[in-house]
This record gives sequence, C-alpha cells and structure tokens, in this order.
Amino acid sequence: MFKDIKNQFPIFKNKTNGKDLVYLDSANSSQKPQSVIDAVSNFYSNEFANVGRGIYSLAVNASEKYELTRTNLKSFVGASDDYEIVFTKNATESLNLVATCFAEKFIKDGDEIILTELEHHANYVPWHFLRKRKNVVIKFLPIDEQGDLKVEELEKLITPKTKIISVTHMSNVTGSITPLEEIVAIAKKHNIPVSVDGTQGAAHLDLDIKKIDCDFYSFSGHKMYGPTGVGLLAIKYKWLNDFDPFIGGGGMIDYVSKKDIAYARGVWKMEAGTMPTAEVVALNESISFINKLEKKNIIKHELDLTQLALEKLKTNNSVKVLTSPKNQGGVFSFNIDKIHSHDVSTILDQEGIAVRGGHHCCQILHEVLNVNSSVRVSFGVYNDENDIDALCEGIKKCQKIFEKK
Amino acid sequence: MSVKKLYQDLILDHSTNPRNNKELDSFNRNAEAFNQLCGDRSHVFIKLSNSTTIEEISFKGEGCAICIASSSIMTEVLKQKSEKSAFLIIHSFTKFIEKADEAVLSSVIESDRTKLSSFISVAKFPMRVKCATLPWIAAESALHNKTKKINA
Repeated sequence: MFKDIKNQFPIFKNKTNGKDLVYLDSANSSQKPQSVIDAVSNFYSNEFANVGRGIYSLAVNASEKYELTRTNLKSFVGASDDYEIVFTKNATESLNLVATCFAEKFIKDGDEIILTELEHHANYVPWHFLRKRKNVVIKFLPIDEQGDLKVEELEKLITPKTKIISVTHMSNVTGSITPLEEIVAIAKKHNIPVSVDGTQGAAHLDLDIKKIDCDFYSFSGHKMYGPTGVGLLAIKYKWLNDFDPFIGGGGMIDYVSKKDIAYARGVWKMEAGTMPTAEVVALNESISFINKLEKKNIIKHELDLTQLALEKLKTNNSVKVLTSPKNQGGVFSFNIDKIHSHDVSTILDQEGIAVRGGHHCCQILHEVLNVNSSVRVSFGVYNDENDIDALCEGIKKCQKIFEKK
Repeated sequence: MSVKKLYQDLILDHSTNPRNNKELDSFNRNAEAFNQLCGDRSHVFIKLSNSTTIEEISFKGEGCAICIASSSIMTEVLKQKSEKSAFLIIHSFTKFIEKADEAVLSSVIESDRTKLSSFISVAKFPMRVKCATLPWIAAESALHNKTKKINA
C-alpha cells in the first residue's frame, strides 16, 4: 500500500548480517523516517535554546516549537480541550505518574485496583509498588480462550473499594484490542477513573480519547516513528490539579521563598528540569508522518499483513499461534514445535529478520497461556508481503536446523 | 558467524535428548538460577559425598536449546569430579564462553574439553551467553550450599 516507503527509512539501506533488514519488531520500537532524524539535527543545528526560560528570540522560538508538538498531539489523540498532555520520559513513566502522583493520593489500605491479564509489566509494576506501600489488592480481568478480555466479568470484579482501573489499549503479545469504550462505560457507572496504557495503540489504532472517555492515556514517542526519550500522558483536565508533581526542580515552580514554594500551574508542574527538547520538537514530524499516511490506511495495511502472515503460517503444522483474538491489531506471537523462542530469534536474526523472543515483559499472560515464552511478530508501515515470505522461509530454516536430531 | 556453528550436532543432541534431566532421589545440594530476560530456569541437584566428590548431579529446567544442552553436558562433565576440580571447571567454562578462547580450557581433561568446546560459537552471540552459563551459575551456587534462587 505504501509504495517505496522503505526509502524514507535510512535503516533499511544497511544490511544486517549481510541480509536486507526485515524488521518485525515495531511493537518494541519503530524505526525512524528521515524527516524525524532531520528534525532532531535541524533543531540542534539551527534552532536550539532551552525552552520556557529565556526571553531572547531563539528561546522564544524553541518554546513555541515545543508547545506546537503538545498542541498537535492533542489533535492526534483526539483530546480537544478536555485533556492536557504532559511530556514524560516514556509510557512507563506516564503510567508510574498515574499510580504515584494521582492514584496513591486517593487510595487507602485495603482498596482495590483492577488490571488485566494482558498487561505489560509497565502497567503492573507501578501498581505493585503501590500494593507494597499501601497494602492494596490488585485484581486481574481474565482473558478467554481466544485471548480477548472477558469484559462481561468486569462488573463482578468491581466493589465499593475499587479505586482505579488501568488497562492496555492493545496487547503487545497477542494483538488483542481492548473494547475500551465498554470498559469505561462500566467504570463510569461506579465513578471509577480509567487509565489506559496506549503504548501499542497510539501509532497503530484508531485513536479518539474523547470518544473513549478515559481519564488517562499513556504512550511513547519512540513507538510512533518518533525519537526515544519522550513519553506522553494525556490527563483529563479535571484531574490535572489533583496530580502531585513527580520531581521537583527548575521550570515547575511559580514562586520560591525560604519558607515555602508554590508550584507552577497545569502541565508545567509535571515537567521539572530541562526536558528532551529536540526529541519533543522532532516528535512533531512523526505526527506529520503518520497524518500524511493517514491512520485508516495504516490500520488497514497492518491488519492485511497480519491476516496474510497468519494465513501463511497456518500451512505450517509446527507453528502454533498463541491466541486468535476477535479484534486484532498488527501483532501476534507464536511458537514453533519443540524450538525455544530464543533459538528461533537467533536463527531468524542470521537471515536479517528482527523478531522478539521471550515473554515480551508479559510474564502473567504467558503464565495464563501456559507457555514459557514466544516469538513475536509486529508490523509497521514499512513492512510488506516480502517480509512475510522471508519470515516463513526463516521459520523453515529453524525447523531444518533442529530436524537433524 | 553461521548459526550452524552455534547449533552443532552435540548441542542439538543434548538439547533434544538431555541427560540427567530429573530431580535426584537423594541430594544434599541444590540451587536454581533464573534468567529474567527470557524466563529460562535451571535447577541443579547434587549428591556430594563425605569426601566432597560429586557422586550424582542432575538438573530440571526449561529454556532454549543452548541452555538445555549446556545443562545436560554440564551434568556429564561434573559427575564424579571432586568439589575442587568442579569449581575449576565451572570457572574455566564461564571464562571460555565469555572470551571464546579454547586455551582457557587447557586444564580440563580432553574428553570433557571436547564436549565443552562445542559451545565456542556462543561467545559470538552476546545475547546468548547467559543461556549457556545459567546452569553453571546454579551448580556453583549449589556447591557453595546457597539455596536461594539466583536471578542471573
């Protein structure tokens, strides 16, 4: 669909282990288009100054560019003025902020939090910290045989002690897409705020957080063809003043005296110290990149590839795909009979194919599915049918190596 | 580096048909090592005699071909060795894997050295070094009589 798009990504000009790179690990992190790389370089070469401080022209322009990314991100996620966007280090930090700077204030010993069996460790460990500090109970919404969340069981898990629900937008292992609107509707009946781990959703799924009506949406720049070092947290405006600052320092204060300190208002309170400025500015280019291709085309492209790959792999009896979700994005995981995921990963790597082997930071899900680990394939805009053929050939090669014995 | 060199016949043989792959009926040393990165586990059981000879050694675990083969070959190599020479072999093997230098194995008897040297290519795959060393970490810990699970 996206003809010649690989040309926009310089990484594909290089060989990996002497082969053309077949990059099937976009759920881990996406590769970067030249426009994003140029934006980082251009900012440092021609426009650099620290933001939000100096009143000279260079600083004012840099601040404007930094804020432009924030404004464009709001439209990107469908936030409108009901939400604010805070820049963090990554989606993991965003989720930690929700747990530590917001939820903890309202949670007492014995209260309950609901997560799901699909969660990445980034949406479990911060809540585990809270469990250690406050003795809260963490409940997990289970999945069914297809790997989809049993949303109908959510109501049963909710009690008057449930204080927050935090769920993934899409599983980074199985590609199962969460019916967020249904979950939020149930949560709303009980006045429970909903936090969404949008790490896999932001670049790959239809995104309208106002329609979803969640309270928090966390995501990462580096998974949406943007730079590393920038995470995003969309906060429903009404909660913004309830957030405590995460770290203290310059840029997040309003007034400082020897006796007391007043924090800055709004998002500035959350962005202490010098932020990853060039990265935030360059992130604007990745938004443009995605918008130019159009989300609906990206979704179709990745879904078509997923279906094609699953169809082709079906003809190989030794390949077992973990689950078959009803509503799936461009991610799936599998195992080859009697071959460990790390052996598969190493052999594919020698063919220039980058896949992830292991538990993909989802040990709970692997335990539920009763597998030790798996091989994950995840698509981005630069993938095409040739990549799937290479994968199928690579899998045969793995089988051949292990067949000998 | 070709994968064929990594997955040599001896490694494939031991990974698909691991030796001493059970819990010993009677043992007085045991330890488990766990690789958080991939979820591989190796639990090593040792029956150490009064004269500190390894009478029996076995392992239980799950993991990739490299990890299982390394566990299996390790049990063959360490069996009937004195505690002292077991430590020496463990240290030599770990160093050998990290440096890809066969000379490090010069103090090991030839029949053992042949088996151990089949892991020479692992060093060329830095992400896989831990797969090979995991059971050896467990064995060393067991010999030191440390039973706490090790996150290797």
